[in-house]
Amino acid sequence: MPLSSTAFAIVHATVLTISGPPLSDTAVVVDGGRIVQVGGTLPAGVTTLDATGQFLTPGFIDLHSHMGVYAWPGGNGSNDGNEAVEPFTPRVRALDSFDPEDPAIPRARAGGITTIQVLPGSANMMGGQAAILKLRLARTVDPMVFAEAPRAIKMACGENPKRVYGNVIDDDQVQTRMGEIAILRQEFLRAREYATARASKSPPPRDLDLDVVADVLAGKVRVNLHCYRSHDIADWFRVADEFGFRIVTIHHALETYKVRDLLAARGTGIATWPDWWGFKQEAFDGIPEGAALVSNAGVPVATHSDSASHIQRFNIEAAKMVRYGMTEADALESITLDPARLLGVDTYVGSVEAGKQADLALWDKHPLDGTSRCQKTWIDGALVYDRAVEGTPNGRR
Amino acid sequence: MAVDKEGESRRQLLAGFGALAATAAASPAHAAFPKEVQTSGGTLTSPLGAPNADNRPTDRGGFIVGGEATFTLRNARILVGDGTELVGGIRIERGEIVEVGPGVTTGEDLAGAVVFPGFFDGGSTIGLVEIDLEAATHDESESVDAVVTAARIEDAYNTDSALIPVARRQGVLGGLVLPTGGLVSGQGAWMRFAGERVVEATMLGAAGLVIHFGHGGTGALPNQPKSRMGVALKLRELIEANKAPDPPDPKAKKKKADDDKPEELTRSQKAWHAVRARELKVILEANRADDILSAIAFAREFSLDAVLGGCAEGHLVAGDIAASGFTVLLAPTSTQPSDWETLNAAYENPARLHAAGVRFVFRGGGPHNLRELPTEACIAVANGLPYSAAIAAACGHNAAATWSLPIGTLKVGRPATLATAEADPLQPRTRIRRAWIAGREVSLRSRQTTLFERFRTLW
Repeated sequence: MPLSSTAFAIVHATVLTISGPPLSDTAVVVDGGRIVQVGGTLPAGVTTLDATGQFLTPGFIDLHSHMGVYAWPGGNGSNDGNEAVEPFTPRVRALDSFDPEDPAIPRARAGGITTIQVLPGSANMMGGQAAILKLRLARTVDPMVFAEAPRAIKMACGENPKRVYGNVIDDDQVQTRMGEIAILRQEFLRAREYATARASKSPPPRDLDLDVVADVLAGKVRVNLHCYRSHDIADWFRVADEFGFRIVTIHHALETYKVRDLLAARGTGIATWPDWWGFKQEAFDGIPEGAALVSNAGVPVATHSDSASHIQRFNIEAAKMVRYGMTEADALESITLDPARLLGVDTYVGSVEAGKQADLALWDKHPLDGTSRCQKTWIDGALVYDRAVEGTPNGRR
Repeated sequence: MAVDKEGESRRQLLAGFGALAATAAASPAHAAFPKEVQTSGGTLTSPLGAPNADNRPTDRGGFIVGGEATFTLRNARILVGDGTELVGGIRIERGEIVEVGPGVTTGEDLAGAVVFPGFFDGGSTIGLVEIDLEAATHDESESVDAVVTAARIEDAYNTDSALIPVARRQGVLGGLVLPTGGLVSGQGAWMRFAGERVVEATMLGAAGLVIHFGHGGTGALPNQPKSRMGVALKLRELIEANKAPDPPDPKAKKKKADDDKPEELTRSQKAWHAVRARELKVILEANRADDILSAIAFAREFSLDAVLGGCAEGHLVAGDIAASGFTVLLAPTSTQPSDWETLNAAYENPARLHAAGVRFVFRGGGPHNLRELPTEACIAVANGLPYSAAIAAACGHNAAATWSLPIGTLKVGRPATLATAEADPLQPRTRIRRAWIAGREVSLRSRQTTLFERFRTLW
């Protein structure tokens, strides 16, 4: 696969810029891994790719992926997403479980995905640090790291932690939602005291867990909270307000439509599915219009997959958002610029604008058409998927 | 090394992020995310476009009160269901289709919207489960033994399930409901997604005995095989032990009066006899290519009336499936190389099976999201399946051809089971407008639309 970093231009495509209105028959010039020009006169002698009749979008961004930490085919050997030894394990990092040979990854690239947030699972209340990756072609995870992305952590509340730990009668474990909140307070209290002590003249030894929680309190780590129920959301906001940390993104978020004003007041966004629901009690009140209601309240809404299969058809997930009440512009934003904002990387990716990193996807039809297919994907200007060469990505382990 | 670089640039960024976090905490909401604020909930319209936005009374089974429908629609794109299309109208009298096509020029003007037979799913546990993680809501798996032959889903099907109106709202008007678990799971039925009583909702009972090939048939239940060897052995033993009795021999000498009583058969034995007499279909679930071949060989060896389920790797043995003549219950995308039985799953599976001449019925996304069925069909089209074949597989035509059901084709004399859509019903942006099942209009309201109305504006 060519990884050319020489200048080229994609010409005559309809460009869905996301940051502005669609531009018909517009050239996008890429050089040095960045978008250097959208529209205008082509630089002399630049290599062109004729995309007449096609649609160019920013590469898509999925805030909730377990690719690499639950690599295909599934089984004991590749279950590396939940360090379910105790409810608080901020010390662990998804990066250290990530398997770049997961066959789901090239399939996602072929669906126009360029950036993913790989999260630990939701067994634990603080399940570990996220890996924010670009789907660059790489044999190890290190070159895939989205270096500019702020640090992020996975937290979870509600049914999962109490289900995982609720069957064990043990002083360190948790049985109920009130138990979860008590643990949360206790851990943040410890971290606050640890931070104070670390700044003192005789600091205690470093603790890998408390280092991370203290950084959350200091606003240095973005909190991704797996949470469904509106009353859980209110409970967690109460604790976050008390300790002065910010929940940046609520994931799954199926009942956020009931308390969307609470999210709007705090600038908290959501990452959610268009239509999943009902797999547990806390997911039973999920409605497909929820995302549109939350979006209309001024809350950033990211469509997420939480699925190594659905991530391959992210454009269709966005199209379903339109069916359920979102504008087409908001639906496209939910797989590009809004997730970029929630990751804190919107100055680098998420739209087709001069100066941004050249993460792009080219479509044979409008991507919200369910029969459209991604033809080419670029990351940092490098071609990482080409349907003309690779065909449908049916790769296996 | 990239990780060092990550640390470096993160340190540069963190100052910025800290400042941003501080701003957000101190000032009104949207410093971090400039976007127009509509805290009222905005202008989102009801998910139920006219005319279903009304509150017409319904019975507990979801039928709109008023009995068998009489109405005429004109100026529509009509997907007949067999793969053909018409431009024109459709006339329904007392719940029956009496005219279809360009000759119908009266009635409600659909302005080019689509009339189609509705969607029919090829296998789920809808009505047998409400919430995956709540054991009290599960009835799909009898599982007292690896072999459960005579159990029937109609005895567990909950017509009041909240999942049924959710499927109906997206035009999914019926489906094959199948038991799960063990080697032999029990008997499925074709259900229509309306009706208060199970008898009213049942389109066809005893639609097939579910049997699992491959790893799906193995496990820890009593008498359950542990390997594919055991699956094949156990199934052969079951069939051979339940050979239908020979017809009475007229030359046999008269027995004592007590011996004239026919032997009492158990319900399980009766079911196996029905299988051997081809009066009861077998639904053979298999995904790995060699498991599909094993299933076909098993059905042929005993001359069974079989349907194949799954077939994620079917494209590798498309010729064998076509030669068998068996219909396939096919999930276009829920099969990925995600487990050891589906390593060769391919997006082109439906297209290749169709090209080989295999008849298939699409399966959607499981009981909660049967509404993904049209999307699954759309993805098959994107990957090479002719549109007409996708409609025949998703809209009941192929199911009706296999099971003789009164669905799937909009033609004169059929009961009015159909839906209207604002545009191509396979497209993920399209909404369903109205639907009718067995001659009566059904409500598109659901528990979800009730929640929407309750929280549409905050109080």
